[in-house]
Amino acid sequence: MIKSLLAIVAIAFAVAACDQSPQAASPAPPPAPPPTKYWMVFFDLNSAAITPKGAQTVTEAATIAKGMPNSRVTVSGYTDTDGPPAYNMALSLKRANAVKDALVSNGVSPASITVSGRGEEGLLVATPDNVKMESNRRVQIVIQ
Amino acid sequence: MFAGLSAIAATAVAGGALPLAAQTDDLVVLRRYEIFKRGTIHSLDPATRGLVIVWEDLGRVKLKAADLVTNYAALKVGQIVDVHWYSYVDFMVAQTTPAISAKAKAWVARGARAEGFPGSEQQIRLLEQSGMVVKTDLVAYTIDIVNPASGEVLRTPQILTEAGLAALKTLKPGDPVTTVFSQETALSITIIR
Repeated sequence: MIKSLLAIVAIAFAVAACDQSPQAASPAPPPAPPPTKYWMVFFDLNSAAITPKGAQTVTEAATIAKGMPNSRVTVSGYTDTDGPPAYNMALSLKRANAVKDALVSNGVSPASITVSGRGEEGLLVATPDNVKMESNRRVQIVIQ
Repeated sequence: MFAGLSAIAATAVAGGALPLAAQTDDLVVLRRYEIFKRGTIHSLDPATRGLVIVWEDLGRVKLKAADLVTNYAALKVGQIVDVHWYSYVDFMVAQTTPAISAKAKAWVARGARAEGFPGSEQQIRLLEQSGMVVKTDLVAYTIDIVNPASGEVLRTPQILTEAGLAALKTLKPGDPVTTVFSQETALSITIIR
């Protein structure tokens, strides 16, 4: 008898759950992806110093970042294939940090910036090893 | 946004001979690229004869009203309108050379005309986008170009013309590129309500 009552109660709960499920299964559509803008800052050979032209680019990117509420800034450094890979990995990080510092100097919150060094990965222009290529010596600033 | 477009005759091919229309500098946005849609006016900018229309399927699109739109002054925000318009159309996709740069600037200064509208005095504006290729997208038919002055990377409108696509396939990251597109332009607007 008790088992029968428990079974009826269980079925009642199951039916109630089924009644609610269609409401739960209609979530709001996902929000539109945030707009993405990106810039490139190019560097001299074996240098992490930002050129005057690069400084202008950083200033423009900083202005946009400050104008976008809750913006997230990703700063990725790259090198060409000239020199040892381990050295280039460190150089790319140095370049990325130089750009991060410049963004912060221009008023961007350091907490919103993510920095990475990619070394010889992700060459913009594919080259063999030990090739000096200005287009590959760069930092990419992505703002979302 | 650009799905309604197909092609244009005047696209310059990278490294190749220019098509006849380009050689004669007869820059025409062909009638077959015209789009007809019903939408709602979102905003107006009388100073530039600009307007933003919200289409049900394409979302918000910013247009310039050509001089053929004689009822521009009667337009109001919120009106539902039927619009004949052109989206972006590629006129030039080419590796940058001094000759190509000069031609692009001359074309931009002159503007294009709409085919089949002899009464149109206001040209369809052309816009140049040039710099170094960062990425080519052979699925979306776009090019990411880094502006040499600002360092900003901008994506071109979609390229769908035969000549433009042929040029797109020859480009690779690092190449200097010059592109010219016509601006999104309304040719006629009918107020529905």
